[in-house]
Amino acid sequence: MSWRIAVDIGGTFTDLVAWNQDGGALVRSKVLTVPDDPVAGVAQAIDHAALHLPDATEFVHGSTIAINAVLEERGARTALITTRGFRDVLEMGRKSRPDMYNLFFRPRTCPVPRGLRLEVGERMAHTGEALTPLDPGEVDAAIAALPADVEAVAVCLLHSYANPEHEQRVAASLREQRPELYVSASTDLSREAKEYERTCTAVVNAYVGPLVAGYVGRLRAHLTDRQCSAPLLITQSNGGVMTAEVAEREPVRTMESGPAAGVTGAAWIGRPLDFGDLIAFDMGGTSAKACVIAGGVPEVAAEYHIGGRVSGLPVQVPFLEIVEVGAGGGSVAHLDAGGGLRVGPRSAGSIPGPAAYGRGGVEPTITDANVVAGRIDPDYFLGGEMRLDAGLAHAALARIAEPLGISIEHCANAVIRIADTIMAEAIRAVTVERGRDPRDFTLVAYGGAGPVHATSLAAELQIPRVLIPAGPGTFAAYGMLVTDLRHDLARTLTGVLDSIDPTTVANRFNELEHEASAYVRSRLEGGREASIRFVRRVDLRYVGQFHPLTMTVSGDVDSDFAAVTARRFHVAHAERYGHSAPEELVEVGALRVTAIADVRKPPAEQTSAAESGGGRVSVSRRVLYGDGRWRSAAVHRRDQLRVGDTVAGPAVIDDPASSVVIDEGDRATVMDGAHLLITVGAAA
Amino acid sequence: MTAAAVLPDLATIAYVRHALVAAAGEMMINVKRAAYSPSIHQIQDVCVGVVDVEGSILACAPGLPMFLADMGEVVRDGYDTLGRDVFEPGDVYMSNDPFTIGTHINNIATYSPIFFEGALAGFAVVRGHMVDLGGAVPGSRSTRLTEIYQEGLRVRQLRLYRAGEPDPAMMRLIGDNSRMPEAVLGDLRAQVAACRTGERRVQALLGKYGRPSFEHAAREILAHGDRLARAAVRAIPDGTYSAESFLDDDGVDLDTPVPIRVTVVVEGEGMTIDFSEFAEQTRGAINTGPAGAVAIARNAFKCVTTPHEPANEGHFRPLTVIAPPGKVISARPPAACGYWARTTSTTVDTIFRALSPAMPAAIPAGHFGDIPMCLINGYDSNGRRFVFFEPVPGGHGGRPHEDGVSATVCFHEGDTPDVPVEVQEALLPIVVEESALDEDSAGAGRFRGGLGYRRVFRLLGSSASMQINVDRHRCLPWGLHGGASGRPNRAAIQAGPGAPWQPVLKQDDIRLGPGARVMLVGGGGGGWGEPAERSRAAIAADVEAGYVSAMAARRDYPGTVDGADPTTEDGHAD
Repeated sequence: MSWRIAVDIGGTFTDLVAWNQDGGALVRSKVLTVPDDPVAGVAQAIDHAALHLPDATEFVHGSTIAINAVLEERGARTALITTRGFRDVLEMGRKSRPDMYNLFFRPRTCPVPRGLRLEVGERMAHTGEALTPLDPGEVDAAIAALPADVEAVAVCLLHSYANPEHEQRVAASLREQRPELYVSASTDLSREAKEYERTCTAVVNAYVGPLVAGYVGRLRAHLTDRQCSAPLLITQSNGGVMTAEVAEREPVRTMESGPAAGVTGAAWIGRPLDFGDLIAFDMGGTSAKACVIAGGVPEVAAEYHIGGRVSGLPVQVPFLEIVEVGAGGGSVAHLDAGGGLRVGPRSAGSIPGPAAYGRGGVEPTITDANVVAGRIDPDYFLGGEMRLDAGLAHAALARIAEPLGISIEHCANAVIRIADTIMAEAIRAVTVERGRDPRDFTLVAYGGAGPVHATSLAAELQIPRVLIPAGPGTFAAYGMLVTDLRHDLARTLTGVLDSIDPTTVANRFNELEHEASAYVRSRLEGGREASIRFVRRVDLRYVGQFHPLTMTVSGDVDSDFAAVTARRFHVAHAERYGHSAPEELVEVGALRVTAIADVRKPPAEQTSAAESGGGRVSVSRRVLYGDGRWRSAAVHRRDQLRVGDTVAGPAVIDDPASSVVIDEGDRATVMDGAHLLITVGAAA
Repeated sequence: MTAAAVLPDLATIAYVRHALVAAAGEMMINVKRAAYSPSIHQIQDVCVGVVDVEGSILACAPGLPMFLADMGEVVRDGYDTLGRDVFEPGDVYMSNDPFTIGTHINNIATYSPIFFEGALAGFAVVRGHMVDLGGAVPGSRSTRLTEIYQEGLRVRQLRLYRAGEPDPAMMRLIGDNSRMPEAVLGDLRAQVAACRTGERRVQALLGKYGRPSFEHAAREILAHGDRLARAAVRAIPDGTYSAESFLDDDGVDLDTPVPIRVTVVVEGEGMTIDFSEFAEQTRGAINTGPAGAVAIARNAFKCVTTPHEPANEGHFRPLTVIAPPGKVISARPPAACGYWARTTSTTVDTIFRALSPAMPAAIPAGHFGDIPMCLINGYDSNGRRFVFFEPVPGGHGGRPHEDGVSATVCFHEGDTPDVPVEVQEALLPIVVEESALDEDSAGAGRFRGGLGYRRVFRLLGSSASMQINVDRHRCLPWGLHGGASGRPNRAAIQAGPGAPWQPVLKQDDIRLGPGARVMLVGGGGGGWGEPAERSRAAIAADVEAGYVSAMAARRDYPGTVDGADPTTEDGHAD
């Protein structure tokens, strides 16, 4: 027996998916998260799945520990060493007021108090030339000035991305003189300009470092106690995995590991189905997320804000370009002062949760609206393990239906449709805003609430096809099983495209690939044999422009490189912005390389139903559809459907972790791999 | 079984509202990403939106709040100037005339008609700051200019694109009149592309719902905005509220303060902001046309009524603005307008000051109220010309429940991030030596003001010429309810290493050699409430962090910090 085990810790549930590589089926389990002791939740998930840990050959893991430490401000006592004159950069940020009419606007609390932000004399230029040498005496003095209770230190010096020498010397002195401290140098994490963003990256890494290292240590000890000798891998925000040892040093790369793993899973199951480009759509309890997968590859952003753009902390680490909106099952519907109906972004969370949970919640949520609308069966929530109270859902909706002077059903439909429009915005942000038409995509919907809203959302956006993967409720953990080992590197290389020597470009790419593959190779262990493949990309812009477009470079860099690349850039610019300027010079900003070592993936799943009975378990139930009409919907059970079965709407297919709502005119077919493909409306 | 077979109307309205805001958001992303100038791609000195056929704002994207009023004004002026029937699909018009659409010459508004099934359905509008449009000085503005004619190319309601194609004559006209033609034409292309994005998105909405439903939703969106604003005004006690402050001078007559007097009348669900007592238009370039008065009043009104809503015209319906012609903010030609932004933030803050007795829990103390600025122009090492400016942030006022925020842009600006030092040094021949909070700048109070900001940079090249323009040096950021004033904005230059620092407030054509230094300081915010009521823990924390020196703490909060209390005011030593 050789098992690969993946465990994803979320806000409410801890999910596990495991695969017996010797030819067994997938095993899934879902238990409540234990906030005070996450390892205990992992242990319960393992027990619930009845796994024998000595049989494990690999353990892949993702959690919200790092990101929650940032959002809840529970990180380590962290200091910062920076260039003289710049210690306040971290506190001041970019100095703007994104929430511009709010007289009480407040930027995020600075993660390092001013007294712990220390300066040293030195200065680099943007060219990498040392304008002022580093003063070793000042470095020693700064280290001596660190109070005894400091646990972690970030180092970020101005222009270190261009020449990290001074910064690395400061970090080396710290490690030598104070070996007990957790030390993060910015250039170990990012080699890109913008001092506030790079400083934040180093600070966030240091801030969560001791906590993540402690957690990983406890998890490793637990696994060791249970005779598990498998290597421990941690998922990253870029849709890759890395070893636990690297995660302990670079935890800032793991902030969005769960959402990223879900997208990776969607890309993986989508590839053999040949539907073209996909939109991964994940709707959970508090938010919904969307990401485009074009040509089988999820889009990657070079930077993002932890906690949102308005008051979040930016970090310069690659991140799957996931757009998140505040609409999840627990999002609260309410009336504003002008009598307008609003949904979210506030969520009832798991405590008290939606009113239907019967845990004391009285405000109406999206889940309550779905119960009233018959879209969720209150008696089959979590496969019947948790019963919902439809009466409480009605009472909660009545709180807003009455002042609006509309019926409770009408109100439930309005809440669902508004939620759909909010989620449609997330999908538009990753498609329409980038010059793409959602009608050319297939929507892959997962997460507890994703399948409930998938077809109405698709209808809203005129997306012709919806794919509901097998096991949608534990899909992020499944994604971890199919996530490859991956490392991204970038180097600034500036110059006009026409005048850059192609040999220089080729050499730089080769150097980056060498470095990235060394990084990946050194982290292949536990008998993981894999060949390494590379993706090369280049940042381009018109001379004088600031923001680049990042484009993939295929094939060798030869004498045609400039001409071919410029032509592709003009086309891409026109596609993205609606205009191009072929008569103008194109400039290179940076070269980027991704090294990927593939892992073995589970084969497509089979359906388990003994014979084709269509999975229909009862005659029908009343379901309120988006056009405001009640229809009698045939009710099916997902686990009783076989490959090739079709279900015509109006219908619902109940899954232990979710329900799939199918409208009149929609048609669902069970695909290879036990995935459901739904053709939506007139597209059928 | 099938009860009401109609779409829930309010869901459709909510959908259209979200979709319009999303359309404006897309326009903003596109203009910013494709732009050439730091003023747009970094500082985001730009505003975008969708307006209806009457020129009412349906949705706009966060950017520069002070660009609000002209979103619709440029369309209304287009009707007045060109007539209603002139627009054709694929057209883009432009205007930058301060006397009809507000602001100054640099800000070009481009707008394109949105057609659906052959009929006009609205407009997409983008307004951005062009780095140079000619005139007497690089950057097209100077404290010493006294007429609009010196400030560059003024264009009113001319067609920039026809049937989707640029008009080559217009491109030549603009390119030939700018010191930075590539940047300006590139930025204009980005603006036009954003207009096209807005057109497409609104057309898609019209296609989806049909014109009657779309128009019904649009009316409801504005009516809902109106209801929200009226509910907020109703909560403010009726009364007539006045306040006064001043600018140091107009930049030309250096010893004459410019009085800023506002009166706010709250009556039931309506508010009137009256600028009748405001300063007459000046010779110096701090003026703007009547749309400026509307923009300022709307900005203040929005903050005290519907701050959390994406703006639409409905939010401003309960507001009446009185601005007799010929005031600084309702100027007539040929007033110079280059530095119109000198006036705006302080006027907004003065409106808040007037309202503070009526809504004490909602109004912070005064902020630094200006855009202290150094505009640099010269040639880089490749011989390419550059013109660069960066607004300096400062401290905001203490609040009824907490300290003010530090080093943040003034009320004129909003979602307008600074240019990182690492980016700036790659663009300009300077070395920034310090970018820091200005200690001891905050006004004392139960809740002190936010700290100001200090930036020192050294010149590497000798070809640079600079303008420095700093106001609110004499009118200190005021405290409220017993709080003390913050330290004011200021600037200084040092000709070379070891040379004395020379204070400077407004000066043009400063020429300095390599090694010279410039210091710009944004002032601190005023304090809220009596300093004696500040908690000892907060005072101790400020001293520990160095936000407030021990000496200043002993002066401002006597008896709370160990050591002898200073007996004399220690002044504002620079």
